[in-house]
Amino acid sequence: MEAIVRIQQIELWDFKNVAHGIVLFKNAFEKNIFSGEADIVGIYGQNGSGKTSVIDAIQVMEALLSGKAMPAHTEDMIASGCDRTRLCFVFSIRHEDWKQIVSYEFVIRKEKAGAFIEEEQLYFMPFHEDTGEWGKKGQEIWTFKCNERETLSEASIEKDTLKDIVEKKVIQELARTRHTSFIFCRRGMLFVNRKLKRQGNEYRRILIQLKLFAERNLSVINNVYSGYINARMVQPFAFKLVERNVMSKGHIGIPLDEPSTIPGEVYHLTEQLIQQMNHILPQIVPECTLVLKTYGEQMRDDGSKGYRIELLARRGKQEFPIRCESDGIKKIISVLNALIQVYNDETACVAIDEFDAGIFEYLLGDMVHALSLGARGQFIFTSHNSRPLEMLKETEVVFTTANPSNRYVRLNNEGNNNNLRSNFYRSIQLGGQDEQLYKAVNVYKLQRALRRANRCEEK
Amino acid sequence: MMQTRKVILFIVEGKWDERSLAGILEDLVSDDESISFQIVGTDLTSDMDSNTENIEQRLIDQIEGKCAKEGFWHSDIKLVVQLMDMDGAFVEDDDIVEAVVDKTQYQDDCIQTKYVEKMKERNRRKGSIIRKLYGLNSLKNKYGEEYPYRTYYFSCNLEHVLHNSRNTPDFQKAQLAEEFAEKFYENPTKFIEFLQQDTIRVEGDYLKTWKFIEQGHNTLHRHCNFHLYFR
Repeated sequence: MEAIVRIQQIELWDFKNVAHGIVLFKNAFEKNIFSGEADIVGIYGQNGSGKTSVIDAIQVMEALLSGKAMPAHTEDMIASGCDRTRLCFVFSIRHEDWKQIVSYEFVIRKEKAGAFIEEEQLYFMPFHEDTGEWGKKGQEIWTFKCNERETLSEASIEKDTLKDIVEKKVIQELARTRHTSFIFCRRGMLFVNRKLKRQGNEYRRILIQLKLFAERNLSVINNVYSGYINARMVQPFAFKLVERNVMSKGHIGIPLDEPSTIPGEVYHLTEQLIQQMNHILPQIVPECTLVLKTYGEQMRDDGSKGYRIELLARRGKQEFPIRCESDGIKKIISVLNALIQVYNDETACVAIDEFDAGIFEYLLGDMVHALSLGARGQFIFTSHNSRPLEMLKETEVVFTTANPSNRYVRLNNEGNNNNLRSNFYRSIQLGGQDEQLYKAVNVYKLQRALRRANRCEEK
Repeated sequence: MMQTRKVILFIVEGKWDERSLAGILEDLVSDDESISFQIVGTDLTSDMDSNTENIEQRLIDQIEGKCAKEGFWHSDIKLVVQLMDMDGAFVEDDDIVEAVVDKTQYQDDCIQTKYVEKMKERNRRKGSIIRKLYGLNSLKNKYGEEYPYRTYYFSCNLEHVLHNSRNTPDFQKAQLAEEFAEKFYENPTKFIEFLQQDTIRVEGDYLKTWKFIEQGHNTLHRHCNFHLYFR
């Protein structure tokens, strides 16, 4: 059995438009951390209030824990006017009887060559069974600080040999130039693992589980997807498949403009994905299934074996290229495998930005409802469409505020009103929350401005 | 927890009432209050389906429909304000005269219409409903919950009071409404001064102003008691 790693909390400082904010996930909010219940969080709020920031932060974390380079332009995510951002993730890890809560905190700093990790800390967070909460930072697992002056004091000589110090410097430079984590890059993992030998297995187990979580179980689907879909060039898929104990995870894109040749392994993967999706797609889009039309084997430019294929949609008896399908359906197709994962696999964690983009709101509500009732994994999404608010519990929704220094709140529910949507609307108009949720547009001033703008044009 | 703002809910006949007044009223409201408009789309007081028995429930339906839409609770509503056009509702039957007109015409001393009997019937209905409504201090729903209630009149109608135009063709109403809203933009206290003009304002307290409008041809003349709302 694989370990179950869940994000319990994300804290952000000076990240994009968030000066400070804490997103507490559902099970942590309910003090139900190791319950194994569905853990869904929808993030709601007005434009530019920090919804996407949460997804972007998760994506940076995914890259770091996987030992990969941070996403391109991560330096642009540092709030304007600041030279660094700090992110802190609290994870729960459960592996059979073994339970841990740890925090992973890192500082990203901007330099000419892009973003680099200035500081990284991994800590145990003591868990209190009685209250169901974690306490203040406990034992350190590993701390790394860039540019740390190594003075060869007796203490450090005792801790690190000269060889260690040199190795540290090398890893530090590698991490910096490759925009990766120190701790989780390949060489860093080897080093830290060796150094942690004395501390026993538990320390190393945590490192490995976090890395596996990011590499295998976490899927982040951001608006780059929507970009591809809107541009009608590529049909993207987020996927995780396990076949004969081999797990593969990632994103693939099938060109849409004409039949194209794809590598053999992508072909087999796509075939499986489509087979899997065809179980569920007709439930969502009546009579719709996908067809991977093959025009035979073909040598690729690099000499490897490829397949010439075209992706078709079948509606009833008709087949047509998928590029002719609506953007909404392409969006559904692109995230479907990820949703199947999060529904069935308790180790899966899926984060989708703008889950509602292009999807009919009633269907969106039904999908969210189905996940809320039965998903085994962790699902994080942002949305503007408020239909899902009628389907989710209040603990499953985080609202962004108009206050950059306290970006994320849950709605106070003084009247015990079960309809979160109407409660949200009421709070927007009448206030009553600790933070302002929305800088309201004055409809009458807006109408006047629209009229006047037109008059300017006429002149 | 912070206090929620309380809602003053205006019930008006049409969108021009809202467009003329909403911006101004919103600027005049205090920080712990919020303005909301419910546009009925018809004159509830003269509607064929209205009578003195069901008018309170019909207003409650409007109020509670709006609350459901906006997520307001009963306790959020501080006051319901209904704005009415008088449309000659209290003139004597003899002053309803037959004439070849496309649309009912309101004159200084009579109502001209193609359908005299229908108009007489309308006035009986409208008059009795108005009398009932201004006598109420609150509207009660089926659970016995009360909404504090006030109604104010524009006579002979909104455009007559705001623009001194008694029989405004529909196609002009949009422009007039916008001009009016524009005139008091960011200067809403001038609107109160406007209502206080001698040519418009009716003297006396709430009930007195209503008694006044019932007299003679007053529901055809240019009168308004909305200034009392700002007391």
